[in-house]
Amino acid sequence: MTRRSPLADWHLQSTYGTPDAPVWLQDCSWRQRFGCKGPDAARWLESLGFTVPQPANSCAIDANDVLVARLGATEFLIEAMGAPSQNIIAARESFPVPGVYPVVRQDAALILGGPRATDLLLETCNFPFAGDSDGSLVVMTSMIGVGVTVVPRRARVATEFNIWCDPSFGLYLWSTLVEIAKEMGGGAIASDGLVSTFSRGES
Amino acid sequence: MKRLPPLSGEWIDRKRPLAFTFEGRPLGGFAGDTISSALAANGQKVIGRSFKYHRPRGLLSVANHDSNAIMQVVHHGRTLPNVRADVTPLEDGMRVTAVNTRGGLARDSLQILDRLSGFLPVGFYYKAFHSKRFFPRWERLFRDLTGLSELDLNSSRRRTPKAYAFADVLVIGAGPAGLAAALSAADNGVQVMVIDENAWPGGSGLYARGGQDADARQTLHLMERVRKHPRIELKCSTYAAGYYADHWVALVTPTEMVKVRAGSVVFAQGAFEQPAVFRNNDLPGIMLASGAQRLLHRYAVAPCERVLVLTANPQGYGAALDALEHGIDVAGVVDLRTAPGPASSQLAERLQARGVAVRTSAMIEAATAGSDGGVRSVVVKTRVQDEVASVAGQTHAVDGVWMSVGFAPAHSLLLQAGARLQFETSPGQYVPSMLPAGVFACGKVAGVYGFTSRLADGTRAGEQAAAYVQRRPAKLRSTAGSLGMMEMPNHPYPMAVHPKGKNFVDFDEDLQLKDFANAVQEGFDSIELLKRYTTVGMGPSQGKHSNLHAARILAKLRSEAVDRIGATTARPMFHPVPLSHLAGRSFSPERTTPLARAHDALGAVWMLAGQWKRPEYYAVAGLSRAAAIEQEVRAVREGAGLIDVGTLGKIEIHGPDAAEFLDRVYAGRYGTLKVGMTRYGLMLDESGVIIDDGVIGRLADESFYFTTTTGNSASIYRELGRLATQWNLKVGLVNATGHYAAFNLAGPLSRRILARVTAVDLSQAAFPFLGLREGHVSGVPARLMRVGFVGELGYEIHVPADSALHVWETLMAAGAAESLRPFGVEAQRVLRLEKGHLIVGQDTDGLTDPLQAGCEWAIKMDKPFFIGQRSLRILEKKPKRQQLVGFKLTAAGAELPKEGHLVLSGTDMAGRVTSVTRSPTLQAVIGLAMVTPSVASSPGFRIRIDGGREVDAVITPLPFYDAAGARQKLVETP
Repeated sequence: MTRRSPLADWHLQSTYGTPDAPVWLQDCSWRQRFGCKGPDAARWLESLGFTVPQPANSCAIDANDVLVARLGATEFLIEAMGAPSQNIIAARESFPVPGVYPVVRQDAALILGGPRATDLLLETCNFPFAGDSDGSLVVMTSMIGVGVTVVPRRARVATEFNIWCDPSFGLYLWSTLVEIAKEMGGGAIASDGLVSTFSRGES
Repeated sequence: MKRLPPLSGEWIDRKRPLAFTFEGRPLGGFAGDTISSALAANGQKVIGRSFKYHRPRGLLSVANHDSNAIMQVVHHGRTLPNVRADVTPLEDGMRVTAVNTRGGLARDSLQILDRLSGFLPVGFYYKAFHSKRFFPRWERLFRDLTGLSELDLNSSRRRTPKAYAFADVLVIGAGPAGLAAALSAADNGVQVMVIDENAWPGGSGLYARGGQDADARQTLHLMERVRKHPRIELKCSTYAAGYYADHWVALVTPTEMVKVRAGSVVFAQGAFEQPAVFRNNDLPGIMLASGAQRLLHRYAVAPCERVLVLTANPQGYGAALDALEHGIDVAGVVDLRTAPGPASSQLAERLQARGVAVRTSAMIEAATAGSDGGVRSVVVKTRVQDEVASVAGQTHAVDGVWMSVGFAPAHSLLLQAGARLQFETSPGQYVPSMLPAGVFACGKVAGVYGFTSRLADGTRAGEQAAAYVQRRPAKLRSTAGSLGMMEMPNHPYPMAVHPKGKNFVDFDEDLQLKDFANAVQEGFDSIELLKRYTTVGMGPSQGKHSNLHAARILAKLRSEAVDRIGATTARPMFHPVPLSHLAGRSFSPERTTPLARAHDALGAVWMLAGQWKRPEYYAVAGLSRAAAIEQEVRAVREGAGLIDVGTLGKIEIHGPDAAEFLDRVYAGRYGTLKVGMTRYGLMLDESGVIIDDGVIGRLADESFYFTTTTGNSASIYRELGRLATQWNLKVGLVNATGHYAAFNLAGPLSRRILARVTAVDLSQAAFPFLGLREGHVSGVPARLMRVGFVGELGYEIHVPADSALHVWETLMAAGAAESLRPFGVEAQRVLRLEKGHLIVGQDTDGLTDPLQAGCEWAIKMDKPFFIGQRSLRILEKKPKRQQLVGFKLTAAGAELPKEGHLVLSGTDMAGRVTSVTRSPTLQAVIGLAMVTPSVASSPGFRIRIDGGREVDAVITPLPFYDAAGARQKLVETP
């Protein structure tokens, strides 16, 4: 069985640029991901070995490149930003768990990067990302009319922005951002493990 | 008019000459010139024609505060309409022409309208349009005569991007007060953005010199500090056009619109100088003193050779001194006041020492035009109690008149921000009496005029704005009440009546003093009515030089104080904004299900349902739309169909109080719902009105999965979250709408098809009607609900979005033998209507309760509580206002009514059609209508269709199809 990115239709008909562009977008919907919420969610995640950030709207990334984003007092988004995580598989298989509810996460997920990434954000999103001082910010905001979760992450050239949205908005968000990025001299870049289908990660 | 020798601080770069044309005449200017200043430097007195009477007009404010200087510009092959010449930089190769002329500026054939002005009184439009008979004629005439620039319809579309920006403190206006505010705020540790419409900051600190340079030097020092300050961003050629909630301000830059979110805002926009009103006060050469000073000190242009200064404040005397400094002969200073204040007197002595005559208690009665169209002379008369005396006047031969009789604070944005104003007699203007949190005002807009006082006031406002952002008490106290000036800058009534009129109050709309008297005489005697009747303040300059005068005139006519008249609030944008800035990239979110590609491949014809793109139907070669839809309906009734219903809202609720929560938000009962079963749910608001419906399924004792209508999922989820918090129940809500795909496999053959791709036991005993099962479909984890919206055996299949295409394709393949057919929204509407199911929002409106909709079966009044229950108890005891009924047209071949068509009872309106279709299954036209109770209890009614024709309908019990529900329940029918 194959899984499909919410942006798969776009990938079928488009070409890619290179990561040295002034601004680029990369589809990373294929990443291993799950969500949970509930009064005991934080404690449960900790018991499974996840690094759980304490303040709401903050995140922590552990040594295995697993992101735990705290979206509110009791809601979490967990994503393997690199290789698939056994911890995530174990967590998914644990349900039902008292006081913890699974949250289905079929997000359209993308990374916005490049030296002009902030310029693109200033055209599309009314949030001052420049204020992220310690790199643990989680922002739930609106971008071109779509509710998004954004985690800025420092990278070698410039800050990269991990963006998640409801998959039904994914094609609109992605294609609009790519269009603007092209006007800035950039565009979409390819993502390994993803063409029209992706099998990377757990089945 | 001429260019002066180089001046210290001038804005032009004399090393960069530019060539341009005006009305076809080749002219020259310099980089740094505006179009207006370049025209003035070339001696171009007449630069445009007035809007209504086509009178010749010249520069007035040189600050984009008036509409005299609006041009059509062709540059680099592009035609730019309505260019604001006062603030638009001159560029090499510009071809500039005046607007609103027929035959060119000099030979405008429509100047005849000036002679016909007696036939075009105030309220002319209203009187002209009064008769419907003559409306088309007047409309053609007005459309032909009016308008400013001409649009080039071949221009390419520009998608101007918009941008967001952020600042702790936004300072609007970079004059002395604004610069001081910016420095004060930044010195207190916050990030500051300061903006100004002009190409350079400094404001009046640089041009209103009064014959000395001390203030200008201090202003330059402030500018330098601002430029070097690490926490200040200075944006010139940028203006604030609108203020919105939470300190969101729309900035207009030369290239784009910037939406700034600020922590606090300091308003330091200054004030608009006001003209005096006397006969022919609009002649070219007659201008505001501040406009003349802008030409002098910014662009090194002498606006005239011999000037008479009409004043009522020290600023006018200062302007006269500036004129002398630049070699302009001053014919005299005429002061409206009987006793000028000490500052004026001091300046008057300096003028008199240089041979300039100063006359008090006097007013210009009229001006006369010369052969070049500009002012040639003025007659000055003694002024007695707001009127010029009927005595012989003194004639002055001049080519320029500078008016400095008062200012109107630039408070439009402040009013948009929610400030309250009150009229203060000491400055003679409105000043803020209440400012919303985070809003601060300083300088002239707050009634503070002295240079040193403005700096102090700006410093105070900046510190307070920083303190607001830093959430600390301010260190500096408000200076309100201590204006720090020696005399009032504003004359209360700088106007002179003249029997021949042409004494203009509003230059945009050619409104004369007598027009106001006539309007009041006709009963339009409040400021709002007066504005609409006379159109004062409704031109391009939005009343910047006329609203205050209008209030003064109205006050005089009503024998009241000005503060009793009130001020009008301009809507955003209060200042002209290029349409290209507004018509940027439009962001209209669109949602798609994961099956878009599959639908396209099947020939989907798309429609929008809210934000969702949905297949309306699937086109078939050789078949019309109606025929294709009919085939889809027949497929579901006779075989099997598959529809993408992924657009439904999908919400999970978990927790020990989940059932209790659902019992409160839905009108039905869910605490008793068995695990593995579903039940219809009707959601009401507090007034008992239906707001949504869906299917609620119980996954486990403490877990439910339910659907909402397509358009309501986001708002319902938000409201449920609010209620969960308010009620403090132990529940967790998950909005899974886009994360799950969903299809409805429906039709008598659906079970056979589904059985090929799932191991779930689909037998009637194991999976009854309204059952809910979890299992795998095509190898994908799925939730299956046996529900029957279309009235046939059917299964809603919910799967994770990333596997949707796989499941859809395997289902289609599995049903190939049964000719499984995809069906769209239109076929579903026909099918559900045959079954008599209502659609919330189509068959109900914002007043429909379940009793009217015939949904009593879905409400459980014996529950302790649900939202809307209390209202329903009241409504139960009242007669129904309307009732939803089913109907059939008596003639099967009758013309199809449309949704919204009227239901008639005799000749009275008795309701409306809410849904209607031609049913392929029943071979009849069927529908739903919301009608009055008397019609609902009658045998039938008539429907008025397009063209006024009527068709007969009989009321029919619902549902129209399979009344026993045997087909969806799979029970034996007797």
